[in-house]
Amino acid sequence: MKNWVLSFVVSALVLASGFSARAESASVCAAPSELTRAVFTLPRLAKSLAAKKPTPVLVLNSSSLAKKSALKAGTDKDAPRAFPSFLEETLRARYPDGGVVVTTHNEPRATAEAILADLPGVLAQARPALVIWQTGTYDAILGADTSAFSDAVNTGIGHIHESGADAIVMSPQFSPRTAIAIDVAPYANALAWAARSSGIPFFDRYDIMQFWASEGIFDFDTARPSPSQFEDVHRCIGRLLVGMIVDGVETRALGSR
Amino acid sequence: MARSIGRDEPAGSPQAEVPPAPSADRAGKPPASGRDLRLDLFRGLALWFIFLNHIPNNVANWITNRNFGFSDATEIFVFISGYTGAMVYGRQMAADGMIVTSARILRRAWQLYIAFIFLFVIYLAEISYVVGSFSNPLYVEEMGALQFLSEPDVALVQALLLKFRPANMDVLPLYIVLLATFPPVLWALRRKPDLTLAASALMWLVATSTGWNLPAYPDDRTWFFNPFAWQLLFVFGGWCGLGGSDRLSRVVQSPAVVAACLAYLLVSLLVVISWWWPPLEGLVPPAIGDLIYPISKTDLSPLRLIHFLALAIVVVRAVPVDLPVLRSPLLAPMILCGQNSLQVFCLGVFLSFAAHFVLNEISGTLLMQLALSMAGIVLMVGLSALLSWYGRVEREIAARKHG
Repeated sequence: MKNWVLSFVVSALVLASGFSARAESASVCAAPSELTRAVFTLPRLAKSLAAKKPTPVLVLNSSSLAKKSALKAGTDKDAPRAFPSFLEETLRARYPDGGVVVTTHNEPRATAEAILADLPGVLAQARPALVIWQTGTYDAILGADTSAFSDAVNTGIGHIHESGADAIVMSPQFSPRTAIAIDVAPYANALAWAARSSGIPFFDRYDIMQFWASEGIFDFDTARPSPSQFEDVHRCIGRLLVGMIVDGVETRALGSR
Repeated sequence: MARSIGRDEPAGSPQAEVPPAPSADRAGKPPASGRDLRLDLFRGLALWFIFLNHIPNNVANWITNRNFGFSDATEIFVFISGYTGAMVYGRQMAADGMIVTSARILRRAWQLYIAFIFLFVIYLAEISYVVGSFSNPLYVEEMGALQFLSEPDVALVQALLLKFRPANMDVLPLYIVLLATFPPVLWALRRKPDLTLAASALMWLVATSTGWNLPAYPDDRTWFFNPFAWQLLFVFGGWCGLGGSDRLSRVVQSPAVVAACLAYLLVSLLVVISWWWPPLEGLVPPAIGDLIYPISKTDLSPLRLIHFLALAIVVVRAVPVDLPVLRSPLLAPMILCGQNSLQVFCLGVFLSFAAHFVLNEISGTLLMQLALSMAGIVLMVGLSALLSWYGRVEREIAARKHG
């Protein structure tokens, strides 16, 4: 929604770090800096990275990936690589001594509220230094009340902080084809505020993807997406996430604005 | 009588709530020629905005009022519908009696219900197409959400029960419920207007504080527009339409009130701009933000309600009822749309589906977005011109027969 405005304000952040990939994806993992800077710091993660001890990163996900789909049975072979895998790769390259290990906790079709019940247990088990919480998709699908959603996210962030981890929240995907049936924007807005008021970075995947669509970097509404689109998009998300993490780790002296 | 015959012609008469006959009464001080054109004008504008807002990823919806304040076109639409509904049906209740008028209101609700089902069928067709033709591993979860198609029997019955309301069609079920329950409300409004308004406000208060809402499908959804909350705007519109607006005129004319409204609108403008314009990002202090966010559209948050009221007061002041520009041909298209609101609203929903389809299937360029937005509005104006012409012809024929 706001991306065409942002595109005027672009000061693109290009993260073309080492990893060689298809030219298409390697050159275009760009997004306006407003969308990729951390704004807030990640002190707990910074400490863990500096201590050169194992640094677990937990991705909380509601995605159901290819295998869950009844709709596209038959097309799935090996599950494609999703952003947590690219995240781990790029983070390890950036912090070779950081001992980064990314684990994913997937709860398909779970609202933010549904995740809350399991969250303390999951945190106790994984003992992460950083939690990347992707949420809102199923809330949007259900049309859950936005205030209940925001309360749940705030409570969840509280749990994460109590467990001694930093948090980044991530908004749902931009999905032009299904936009007529699923309106994600209010949930992305609620997340933006929840992140802001809790003082944690917000990875606005919705806006970033919309930016890519408006700039013609990816075509999300074509009936025949390129076979590599899934991985290309997830690779970019992984890299931009690392950009945000690095920002949050390195600007620790500045504090929040 | 010509008026009632025109109204009873379901095919193409102008809105029941838009009597062609001069009707100098409650709506402020209408000029000699009759109606308060501001009602039609702003309802027409709201219909255009609703259409634009309902096309996802459309540049043109940047001009709509939701980007400049807490409330949006829905508030305008619901309030004016309550206002004109109470005005027209209230007059009929006085002339023709409670029973007949109630029957007319219920028939109107029935027409809306049919329109809803019609639009739902089109929606199903579009969604079925998307599910059938589109397979992108990126969107497995989103597509999975559209799996209600795997049990069409349930989805269809839930739609008939108004429990399954696809996004973008939510206003229609709200309007149906508001109209279907309007006869007793109107009766009460005519007898004890203030008491009725107070009861309505109480219901809104209970609904917003307890989350009391109607159930929906699938799972544990509720209605997107909580009718227990939104009825307040409709009833308040009715209260104004039955003379309340005259009683409020002193409030509206008070410079202090107008100044307060302007201040509120300005603050609201800045806050809303801070949502999408990065330089203003830190504008709302966390303490205030925690208090006011998220601003519930479902339960008609007080912030939205106050914003609408402030906007209404400022507009009523800025656009007097006898402003010559209201009669200019420039505004005529918008007024025409406002005078045929039911049909134009439904056409708008259909056109937003169609525009979404074209943007995804053919081209989603900026130019295309603007072209489709313009084309949609032209079609809406075209339909309302046709309906107004037909209504006029029918009335003339009827007048000749009877007169």
